[in-house]
Amino acid sequence: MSDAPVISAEDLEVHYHGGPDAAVRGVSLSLVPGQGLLVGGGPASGKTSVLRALLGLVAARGDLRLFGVSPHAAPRGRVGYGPEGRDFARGLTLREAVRTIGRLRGAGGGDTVEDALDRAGLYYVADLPTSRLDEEGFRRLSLALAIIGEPDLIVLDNPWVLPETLDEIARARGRGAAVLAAGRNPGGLAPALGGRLVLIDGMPRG
Amino acid sequence: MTGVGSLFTMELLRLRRRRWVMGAILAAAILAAVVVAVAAQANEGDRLDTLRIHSTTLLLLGGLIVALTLGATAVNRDSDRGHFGLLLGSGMRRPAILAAAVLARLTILALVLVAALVVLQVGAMILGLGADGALAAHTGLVAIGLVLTLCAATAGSTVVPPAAAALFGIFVFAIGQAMVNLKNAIDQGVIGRTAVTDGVDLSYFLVPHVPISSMMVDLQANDRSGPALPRLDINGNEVLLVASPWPSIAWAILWCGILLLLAWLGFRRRPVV
Repeated sequence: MSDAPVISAEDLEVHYHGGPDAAVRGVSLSLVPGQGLLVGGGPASGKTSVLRALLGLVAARGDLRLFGVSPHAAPRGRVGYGPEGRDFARGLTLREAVRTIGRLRGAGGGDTVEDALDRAGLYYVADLPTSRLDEEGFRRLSLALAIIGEPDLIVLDNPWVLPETLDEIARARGRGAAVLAAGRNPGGLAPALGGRLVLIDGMPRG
Repeated sequence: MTGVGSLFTMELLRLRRRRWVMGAILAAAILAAVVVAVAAQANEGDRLDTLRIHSTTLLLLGGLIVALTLGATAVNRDSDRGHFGLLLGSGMRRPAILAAAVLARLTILALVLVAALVVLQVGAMILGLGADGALAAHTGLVAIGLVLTLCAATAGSTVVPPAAAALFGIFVFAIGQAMVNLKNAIDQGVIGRTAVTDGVDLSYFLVPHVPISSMMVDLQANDRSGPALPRLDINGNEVLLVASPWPSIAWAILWCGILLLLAWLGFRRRPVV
């Protein structure tokens, strides 16, 4: 297993819409294969902004690397992302959402899709439209989207501490994937991930 | 299936499930049937022109509503609600995401126009007028104008909310239509040549053109008018329509590309959640 960082950031800074105030500044982190990290902090502390910057969703300053290259050039299919929110798969059934993301990652085969749904605890509701889900359902769908295809990096935004989540974190780290999560309540996530970075007002604590 | 192919299929599926989209396709067919029914009430000699003039209204006004609605929400909503964030976070590239969103919307627009055209053509045959090639050609040119509008609204949707993006879309269409009419008026001597008209001449070669079909020219010659073919006169002098030459049509298509490039530039730097 190579020790080259899967994901790394040096002096990460995020300014939304080019504004003068930084949502995140001075954040540095590095994850090698098999490592986990929880980005914690209170509401609006910048946790999700760190994840979005590392994945290329928002413009950021600093030296950001995903598998050794810029996030915008990172190889498709090696990142599994489980977003927060309720509208990320609007208009699709659970199975369609997982299958499409799986296909885009090169892993959209029938068995793989069913396996991801089952492991996230969604097998029996897979044909429901996502509009029928409750908050727990969306957290489980987010998990299924992140794990399908066994990506080398799993990124979870505000996951619930479900048994399935902890199982998948352990499984991913066991097979050499890196796991990065952002969450308000560390609960069982911090021990499962093995590392913690706490943000206060967008800056690392301490 | 390639990345763009999979994205396109997903976006088309998501759009198809929106009630208003299926409603628009159905409405296009129903309203086309109404147009045929109205034409059937006209005198035999007037039926073709009646069918055509009401068709122009349906295709333009209905088409604009659909094109603006599709384009004005192409990027902003999915960027702000997490869908594009999921795709980007899962490794998709922004050009592929934008291409899939635009292609899916163009497909829906095409389905709406085809639904209307099929019913109109079948209606024409039932009325004993035969298949109307001029109407089909007109629909094709209207489609170009609608695609121009959709592309403009899409470009707007990368930076502003839906209402503002729709305004931009209709602004581009209006400029394209107005410029063609002004140029015709100047060329026909309805407006005397001044420094201002020289500016119009120059602007004509810069701004997009909304194509005009031979069918529109024929309808005007037969003294027919309607919401999509208003009587245009300046100081009591009528401005005659001129069918768009191929360079003008090509220019409209090129402008679609320019607007999509603007959309790309807008989406490239847009924060996505």
